[in-house]
Amino acid sequence: MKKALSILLVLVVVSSVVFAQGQQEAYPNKNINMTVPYGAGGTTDLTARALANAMGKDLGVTINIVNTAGAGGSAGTLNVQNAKVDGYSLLANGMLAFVTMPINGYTDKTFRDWDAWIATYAPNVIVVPKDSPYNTITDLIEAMRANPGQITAGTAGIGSGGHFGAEIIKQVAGVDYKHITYAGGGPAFTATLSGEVDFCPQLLAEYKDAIISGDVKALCTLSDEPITIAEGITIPSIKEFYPEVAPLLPMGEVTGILIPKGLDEAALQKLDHAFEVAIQDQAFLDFCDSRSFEVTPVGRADSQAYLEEFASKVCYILYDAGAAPIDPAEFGIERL
Amino acid sequence: MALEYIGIAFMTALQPFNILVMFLSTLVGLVMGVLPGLSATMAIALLTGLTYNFPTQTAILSLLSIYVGSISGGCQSAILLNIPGTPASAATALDGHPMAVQGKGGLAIFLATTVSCIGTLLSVVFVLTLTPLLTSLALKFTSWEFFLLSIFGILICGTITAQAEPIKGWISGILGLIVAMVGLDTVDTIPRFSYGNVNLMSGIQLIPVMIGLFGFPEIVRVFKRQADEEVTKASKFEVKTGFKLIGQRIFTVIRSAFIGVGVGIIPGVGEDTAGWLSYWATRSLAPKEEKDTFGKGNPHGVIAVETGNNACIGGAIIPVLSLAVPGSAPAAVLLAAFLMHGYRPGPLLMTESPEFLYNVCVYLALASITMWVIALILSKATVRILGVNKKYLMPIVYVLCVIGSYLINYNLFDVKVMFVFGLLGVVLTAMKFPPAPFLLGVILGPMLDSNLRRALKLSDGSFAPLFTRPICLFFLALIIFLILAQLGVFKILKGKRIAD
Amino acid sequence: MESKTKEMVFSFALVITGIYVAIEGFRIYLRAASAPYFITTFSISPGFIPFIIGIALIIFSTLFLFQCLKEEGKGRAEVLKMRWSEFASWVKANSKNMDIAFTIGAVIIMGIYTYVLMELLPFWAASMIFLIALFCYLRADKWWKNLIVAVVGVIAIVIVFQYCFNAALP
Repeated sequence: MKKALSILLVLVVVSSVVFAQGQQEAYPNKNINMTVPYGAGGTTDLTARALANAMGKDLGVTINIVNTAGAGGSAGTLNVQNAKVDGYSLLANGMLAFVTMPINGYTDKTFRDWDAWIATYAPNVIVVPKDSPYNTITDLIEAMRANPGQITAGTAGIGSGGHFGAEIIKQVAGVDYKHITYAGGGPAFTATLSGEVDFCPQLLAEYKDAIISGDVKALCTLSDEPITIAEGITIPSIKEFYPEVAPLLPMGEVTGILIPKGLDEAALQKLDHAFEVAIQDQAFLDFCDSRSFEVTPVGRADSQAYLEEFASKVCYILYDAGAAPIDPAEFGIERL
Repeated sequence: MALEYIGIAFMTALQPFNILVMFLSTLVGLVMGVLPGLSATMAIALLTGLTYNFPTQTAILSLLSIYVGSISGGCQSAILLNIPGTPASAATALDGHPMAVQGKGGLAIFLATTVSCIGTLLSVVFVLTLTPLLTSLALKFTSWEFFLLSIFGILICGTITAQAEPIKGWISGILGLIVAMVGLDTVDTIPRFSYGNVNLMSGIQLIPVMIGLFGFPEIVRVFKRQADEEVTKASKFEVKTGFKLIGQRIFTVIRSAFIGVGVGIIPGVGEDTAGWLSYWATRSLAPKEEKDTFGKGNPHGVIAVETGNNACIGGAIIPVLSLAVPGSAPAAVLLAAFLMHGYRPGPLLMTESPEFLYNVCVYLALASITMWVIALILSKATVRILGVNKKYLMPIVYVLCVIGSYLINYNLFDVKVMFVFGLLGVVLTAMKFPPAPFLLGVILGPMLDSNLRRALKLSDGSFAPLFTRPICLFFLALIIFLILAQLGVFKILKGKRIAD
Repeated sequence: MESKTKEMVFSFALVITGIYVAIEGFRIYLRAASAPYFITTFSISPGFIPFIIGIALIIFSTLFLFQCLKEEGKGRAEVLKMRWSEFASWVKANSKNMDIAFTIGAVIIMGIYTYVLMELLPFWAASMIFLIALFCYLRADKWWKNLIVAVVGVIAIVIVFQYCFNAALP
């Protein structure tokens, strides 16, 4: 009996190794995993799901979303970076966290080691509680200058979209703010509603409805242009009040799909095509519209130049704020 | 208007296809709940992808059914195996498993399932009537209140689970807090206890800890040379006794539902805490001679916990609907699913799509009734499956534990973490240290840490707000009372008065 | 062995853990107080809560240790000595206990599955080998029956997760 068993064990091992090798066919011949390095329900996750659904239809396979939260989005990114580059593990990520990974010391690789497709842009909007004394962005900036380091900003944490928004406000005011961090955009917004913090510089998508209903007041957006979110409700751009900040604009979260370089060209072209179809997919457009995301497609060919500029902007904002330990210049990221 | 919407919602839900989907979803939710390690959060997250291409109403019905099913299913493995299927049912095992050992497993499951259904139904009533009022109450909770609430939770859990020696429970809670400290801290993203390891920087996941602490010791217990045939026997439901018991305890049910809804509304604390709080309230309000029977198979305890954690479902949905801020972890995934299907919960919901609130309520109510029927049928099967030779069952349970840990983040590291905590769980069990406060410490640790430091940052390091905020004072008084009572101060005072 | 002796040894370990956590908490504070973070206020430093928790663990486990050392009519030192010899003899006696050795063997099989097999093999193969090995070790039933249960169990699990729940297994 012992013999029979050991023979069986060997058989199982051998056959499993053989099966694991797999057989080659045209890409894609099985379901694709798309890693989202955040929990289910966030901005990145929702965008990824909408994109994955549309891209999967074009590729003729299902794209499964794998939520790998942890360590500020770097855990999931590293998973994809270390996986086999066979086109079956994609990454959907927010570019703010993605391009700042090397200067935070999470990895030695930069965005230049990845192929990228950029899909959406979500602007920052500065909001205050509805009973706040500040009615315009100038009120807030003046108050900050009068009480340096005392005005509180609630964000989703170091390196989050809100943190970048607050840093731009700081550069405009020329004085520091008191940074209060929460476990996510939702808790930061709740704290603004209850008046625990003076202002909240997160993304528009996170509180668009509360602005329309009047639960919070929107002071300005960090987009280049004013944004109309409903009939008669237009949020002015910060540029109208402080033109000197224009080089740092537009600020906000940019979401896209990435894959480490090294996939063969035929497979990449299939992904190119799927991406182009997906960003014209009606369900995806409706989703972006309801969340106030701008669809700003940048294909694989142009994304490197786009990211080069974007990375220079955000890496230096973070480094200058003292929130990143490594100088971006070490990775060849130039100050523009 | 409201009645019309409710009518339409009923019509939608009762279409044959939707009924089928509701049954299947509830069943899937229950099965996920019963399996140790597959929590409600994971069940909803996994199936959100599947429902993407469903018609909107069907998808929402399906997701709500999964939510109700998975929260309710956890009680069956807690009662029969002493391994909670989800963190929410950890408190159910306290009295449920002793009942099963005494041969009243059927009654325990019937009670748990029935009050789960009642708890959900009561919470639906709250959602319908009190949504705006309760939301404004939840907004009164700021960093200080969250901090005190987390301390309170760990304290009462420690007191309940180690009755004779509360110090053991408290030490266990502190150990859990230490584990919660591992990883990048949530305020300044500075690594703590992570020794440069990227996996540790992400922090220790809750589910592997739970499976390790609760599941592992039960699995290891079977590994003996001799076969001791302790087979889980299927006992009758005793429907009559069950209803009678619930009828007698109607105030417990209502009180636990209140606590459940209240805990549910507060963002960040969820089903697990709700169960413990209801249990504590019920035990401390019980007459003196009954107090000692808790933890030894008192059906009262099962009723309190299961009403509490299920009422939390409705509570957690309230802030989702009114603020688009989830009240618990599964509700967060549910919110994402709502958004994906084109609904925008939040302050504009009642003007933009007023029917949605009524849809959710009707679907929740129907799902909880479906859950009751299916759970009772399913429990017959569970009892039979769990009744097979334990030497077959437990290794397979271990394989499920491995899958459950892996699926959190699709990371084998979590499986290894589970094994380590399993060994720790065996030691703690041998020392008669209760594992539940440990688990609650891991759940509430990040909340305690980040909220205290956030509050201190806001007040420039001053503790004064603790004594000026009314809710804070309430919690402070409760915490001090709890500690003094445990240290026997009140007994000493009483003794003195008699002596005088 | 008396349970009090076990508890005493355990509470020693707890006190040491507490000291380590408190020291580490203070070191985190020192790290956060230097470049590039400069968080010099202790109460809002990330090291604050770990330090407090470490201290609390030391206090509670010392209290617990004293509880264990209480015995009618004997001095603390005397009790300590007595407990220690008890512990030594317990270790000696139990190292030959077959039942404990058997359990440890089973746990080692679980450990090999978790740390070695899962890394090397696809999920289904690793689980099948593990189940067959553990069933046989536990002498659950005849070997061919063990085989069938293991194969059917793994196939059922894979079908349910991979195809019904759409979850990618390792």
